Amino acid sequence: MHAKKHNGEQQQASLLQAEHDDVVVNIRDLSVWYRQRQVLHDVNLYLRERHVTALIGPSGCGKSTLLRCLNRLNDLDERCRINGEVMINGRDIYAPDEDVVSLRREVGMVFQRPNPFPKSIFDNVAYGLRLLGMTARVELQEQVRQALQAAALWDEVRDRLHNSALELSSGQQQRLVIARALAVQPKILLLDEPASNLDPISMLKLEELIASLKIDYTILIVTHNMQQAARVSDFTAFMDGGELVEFSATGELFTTPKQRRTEDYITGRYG
Amino acid sequence: MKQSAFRSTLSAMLSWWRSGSAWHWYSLFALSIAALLVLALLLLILVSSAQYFWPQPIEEWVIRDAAADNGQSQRLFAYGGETVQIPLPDAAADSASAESSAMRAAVLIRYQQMQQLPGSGQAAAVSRPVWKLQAVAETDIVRRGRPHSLALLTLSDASTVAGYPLQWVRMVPAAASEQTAAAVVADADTGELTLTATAADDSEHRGLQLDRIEQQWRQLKTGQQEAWSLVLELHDGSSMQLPAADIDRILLPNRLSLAAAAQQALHNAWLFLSHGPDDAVPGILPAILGTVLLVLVMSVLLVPVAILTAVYLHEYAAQNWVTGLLRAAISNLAGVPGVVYGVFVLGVFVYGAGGRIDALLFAEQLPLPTFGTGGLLWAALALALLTMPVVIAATEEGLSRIPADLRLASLALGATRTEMVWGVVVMAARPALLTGLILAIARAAGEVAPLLLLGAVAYTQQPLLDAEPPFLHLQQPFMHLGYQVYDLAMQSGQSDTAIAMAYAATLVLLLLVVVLNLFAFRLRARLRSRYSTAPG
Ligand SMILES: Nc1ncnc2c1ncn2[C@@H]1O[C@H](COP(=O)(O)OP(=O)(O)OP(=O)(O)O)[C@@H](O)[C@H]1O
Ligand SMILES: [Mg+2]
Repeated sequence: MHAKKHNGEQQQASLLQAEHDDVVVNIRDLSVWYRQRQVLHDVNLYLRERHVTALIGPSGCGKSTLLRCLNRLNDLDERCRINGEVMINGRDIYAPDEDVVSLRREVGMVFQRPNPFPKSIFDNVAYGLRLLGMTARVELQEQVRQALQAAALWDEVRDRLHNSALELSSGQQQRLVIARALAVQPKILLLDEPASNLDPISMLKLEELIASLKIDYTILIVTHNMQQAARVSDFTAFMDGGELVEFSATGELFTTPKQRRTEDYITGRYG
Repeated sequence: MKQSAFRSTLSAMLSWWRSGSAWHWYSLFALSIAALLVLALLLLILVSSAQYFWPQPIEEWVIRDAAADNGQSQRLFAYGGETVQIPLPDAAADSASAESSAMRAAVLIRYQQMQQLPGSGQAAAVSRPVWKLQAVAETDIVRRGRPHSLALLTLSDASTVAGYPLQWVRMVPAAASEQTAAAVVADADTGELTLTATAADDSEHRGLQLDRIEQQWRQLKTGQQEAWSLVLELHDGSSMQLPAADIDRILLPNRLSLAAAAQQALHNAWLFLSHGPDDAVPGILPAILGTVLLVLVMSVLLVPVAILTAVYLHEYAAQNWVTGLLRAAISNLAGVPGVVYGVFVLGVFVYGAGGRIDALLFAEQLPLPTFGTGGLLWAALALALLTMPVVIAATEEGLSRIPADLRLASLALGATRTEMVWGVVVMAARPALLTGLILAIARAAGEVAPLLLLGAVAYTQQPLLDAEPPFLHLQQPFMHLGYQVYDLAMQSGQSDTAIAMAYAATLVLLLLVVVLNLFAFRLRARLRSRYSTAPG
């Protein structure tokens, strides 16, 4: 975990200032309501290009909600109201003229529960590519293979690409949906507890995968596993009750948390 | 002592009650009632239609000849029917005009009678046996019986002849030309018998064994082509020669074993299924075709509209009270009687749209309507409207069972809403759609009321499907199984055969619905096993 050390300690000083020249996602005073209930309170957070940011916090604190704000998936829900600003590459994604479809291609997402389409393995990975208008068989096959290899699933499914994706184990499904997200080559990846269904070995593989993806992608990962957050991320944000309690370099947050709530949570005294 | 025993029984009963196992028995009870009702209905239909196919015994009747009035009697080969009441003959009615409405018991029989056929060309007029219906007063019956040796022959033109088989004869080839002229029917009175008699030296006789008549026939038929004939004694005492090659089937209905009778019943059922009403064996094939086509055309009209409606209601419409009201209205349409749809389609589409179409496209045929009258298309449309609510509800139900995660996954990959709805949600909801279609088909196949107004007929000669473009003739009146049942049951008076035939048609209709549904079931099972998460 060289990256962690490198980023976490050398750039520690500049961390508290929100302005870096490599900030791709900048969330400012974001509040979200479902009906009357406010589930996010003035969240401020930024993601730096080609870094991994971990989001931790107790269940129900609003992590998934925050993720859904970054690719405007909340739009679908009429009951959901959003206030604040999310800038991606300097562009306000909630601006009226924003092209949501291209935004979502730019911001890939892997969901908390594996949700493969009821289609074949191949069609699952090819789904986004076909939406992009790719029809050439050979090209599709090549892209699908690369995506599956990147998600460390290729060897397990190479000879049953046309079987239903629902035949896969949930760990395999999890990697399949990662492959599906990678296939369209987004710039930013939102991973919502991607390791929740994985055995320790697959989990380590996934962490290696994340480390390697970091070369090309900006990653925000939600996890309940503190060791995992410490291993894979450069920065960590702790949320509680819809508020962003603390955000700093991973090493710093886990060793010297500034907030009492953070400390309680990471030492297991939460509750 | 006694009281405590009572108490413990009571508490045991109470605890049994509380354990909830009573509900197990209640539900079992309800299930058995439902199953029994279904079984009873099926049994009624099966038994009644089996009666139609089961070979009936042929009876030999001797009756007083009413016309001769001199005590002469007459022999008949007949199928005995049910007892009916008929008015007294005119003579009796005149003498007692006060009781002109007096009735007497009679038996309705179907009997064989000779019918003169006009001779063609130089050939003499021949007569051939045909079957007639007649009521015979019970007082006129002298004797009736079921002689074991009476045979029923089915000829290659599917007509049937009853008679006593006498012997096999073979014409020598020299007489072959004359014999072919007499091959259809040889009658005792018109000189053919003399031919046989004079040619007695040229003919070869062979003893006939009644027990083995069928084997003999098969041997003779395959052995020497057309050479052998069967001599049959008809009801009027005349004899008739039937070439073995012209005979399709030989049956001794009064000495059939159970197995042979069952075989014959299956054969009859097959004839019933594979013939039109014109043929000598009245069959139901055009009605089967009509029903299948009607259901198919209905599905074609129904499915796209139902999908679009369900998708709009569930995916696009705002979920407010207007949508709720709309949804309730659609569901309530399921309660509208079928005949109302018939009237609606008749008024709006047949007279309205159909008239326009005729004026625009088929003007040269006016005033004969083409689409301006009932026909397959309009009937299918009425059924489509009738079953629409079921399919919409089932599809919507299916759509709502597609997990939200799937929608989000699709959107997150950059799908537009349309791509998400049609590419993922509707695809995954296909099994539910098929469930709706299965229900619709079952409902539509048995629906008769709207068809009464929209072109169902008891009989038509025009086929719905033929080799002439546009191959499927949507504007034509059609025959339909349900309508046949209705027609046979309602219009055919008291005839037992008609009722039995109605049951047979019902059975066919049921089987047809089962077959259609099996198709849909298999398709659904395939879709489910391959792709779907949610059960449809
Ligand atoms: N679609 C929704 N409608 C109404 N309330 C919602 C919806 N989605 C989330 N919430 C509420 O928002 C709050 C935050 O939910 P969220 O899913 O973001 O939590 P989370 O941090 O991801 O939890 P977990 O770790 O269990 O996944 C919860 O109280 C939840 O009840
Ligand atoms: Mg969550």
